[in-house]
Amino acid sequence: MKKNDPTTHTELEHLLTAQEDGILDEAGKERLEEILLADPEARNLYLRHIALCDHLAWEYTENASEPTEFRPRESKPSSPAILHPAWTMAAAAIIIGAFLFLFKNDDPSLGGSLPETEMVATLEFIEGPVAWMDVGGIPRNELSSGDRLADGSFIMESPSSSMQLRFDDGTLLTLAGESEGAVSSKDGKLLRLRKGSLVAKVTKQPKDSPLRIITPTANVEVLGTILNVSSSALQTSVRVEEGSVRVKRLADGQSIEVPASHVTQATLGTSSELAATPIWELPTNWNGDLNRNWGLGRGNYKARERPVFQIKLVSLEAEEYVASRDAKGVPTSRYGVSFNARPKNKPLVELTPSSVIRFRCRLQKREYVNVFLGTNRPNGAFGGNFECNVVIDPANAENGWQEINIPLDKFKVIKSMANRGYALEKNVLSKIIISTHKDRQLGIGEISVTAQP
Amino acid sequence: MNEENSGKNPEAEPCAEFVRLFTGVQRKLYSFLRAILRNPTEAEDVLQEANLVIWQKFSDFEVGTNFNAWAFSIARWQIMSHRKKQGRSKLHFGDELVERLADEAPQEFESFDARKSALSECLKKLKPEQRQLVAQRYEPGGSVNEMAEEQGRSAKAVSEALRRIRKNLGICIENNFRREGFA
Repeated sequence: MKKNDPTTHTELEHLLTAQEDGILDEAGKERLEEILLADPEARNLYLRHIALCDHLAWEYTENASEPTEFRPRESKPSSPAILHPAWTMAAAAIIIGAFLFLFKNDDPSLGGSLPETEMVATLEFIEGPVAWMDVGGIPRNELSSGDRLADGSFIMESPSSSMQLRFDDGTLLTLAGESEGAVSSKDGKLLRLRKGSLVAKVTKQPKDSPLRIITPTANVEVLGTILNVSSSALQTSVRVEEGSVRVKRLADGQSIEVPASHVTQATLGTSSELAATPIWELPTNWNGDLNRNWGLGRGNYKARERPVFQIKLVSLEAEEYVASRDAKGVPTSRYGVSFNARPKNKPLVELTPSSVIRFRCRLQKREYVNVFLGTNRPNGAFGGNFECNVVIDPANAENGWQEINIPLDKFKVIKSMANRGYALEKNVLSKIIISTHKDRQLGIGEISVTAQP
Repeated sequence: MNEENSGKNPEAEPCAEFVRLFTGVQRKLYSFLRAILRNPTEAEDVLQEANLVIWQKFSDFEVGTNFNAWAFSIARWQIMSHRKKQGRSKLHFGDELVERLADEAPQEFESFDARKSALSECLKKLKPEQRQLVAQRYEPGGSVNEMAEEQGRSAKAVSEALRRIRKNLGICIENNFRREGFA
């Protein structure tokens, strides 16, 4: 191969474009390696190309954090932010520092020394694997509904995990999914939410001692309201249903009042103004675009007849996740695909009594498939988790695929939340997990929720 | 040199300068890892491992020495460790190319931040429709396929349009560099 050959560099450009767009085939990969190995200038171009594409991704990830996405009455669902992993990692690195600051040892909620342990809340329900460590670093094993809790830290391990705490003043905190943080009641209630999402129904707090929620990017002060918070290393979304809350962006100290029925987003960057915008109206029909990042599920590009430029996912393949742990901490896995309303807390769809959950799936063997729905009340309060088990038999499939339709009335509230008055109708849907107990190569080809006429 | 003699306190918190340098090198390290590992997820994982090592070893770092070189050497070590764990994969470059890229990338990335600034200027020079195309591609959730569907064009055509824009951006950045006397 000729070094510094313009033809080779044109070829290199095409190979780099294909790699960047995820469509480089095996032959292309080998050819790219061959060119790079032979030509130092090609390696320079390669490194610059990678840097250029990363710079572009960062440029637009930062700009995309502007709250203009929160337009009410959007005819087309807005894209959930699939954050550039590098930006995520850069932020994660910063967060290592921030987290050490947030959870430093003098914080009693994470193992500092308190003279005695005071119980501050009751566990209303708990679902899935949740590790809780009381003040002083004492782990609480085998937590169950009705247990009293002291200040402590928690790690919720599964996408289907949830727990609800009722403080002694009636304030309800419901945490869902893979959330991590700590609760402290010293000098006012304080919840440190490192990541994940929560719904808080906060009773009236003393004016000089609001409930505070601290995330890696925001400080939220609540005197009494219903609000919905989701947080990652990069951004915190706060949706206020009733009352109002004060949100301070930690990056620059800018702070705003978020009124009822408004949402704001505090990011790690400060390129956009911190602002509150009206909450959207939800549709009653929803089609899950497999090409978006919904949570669990490996993207599968392979089609039977794959066009040269086929880059659309044809299915999401089940991934293993920890669904529960026994008393000794031994995990039980499930294999699933999830569709989460993340990261901005916008639910997927409004449910109606005639809603039908429809999906196209592929399964290697006959198996019980669990369909899990995580919901909220229309006002943002926690709405309960529901499930339905269906037997899916590959013998009924056509070309390996079959369509499953489950009307809403087939779903039952999950066992740990029974008799609490949760009902699916009129709730909004925030999460769907479709899973099997054994690895049956579950694939989901399409998914939708439709209100039947 | 022992810790007492070096004046370092293993219990000490990282100083503000360390945190600044640590934060500043993150994007370079990620691009370095992505270039070598070819896979964003693996790059993300290895960066996390490297960050933990950097953070744990902060007391080994002496302010005033080359932080970037130190961080790259840790990342390189993490790459080797990761590749050893993963075994040879068709998805990875061979050892020889990895060594060469790892040798050359730190020097190439010395202009990383300056190129980022130049890119911001170059983006302003794009035609509105080109800017829109780049924004659609790189905004969170953006994909060539989705763009193709929305625009009623083939994915290949969209990708080709993006290739031309990226090429022009690359040329613009180089020209800016020459003007500024970097090249």
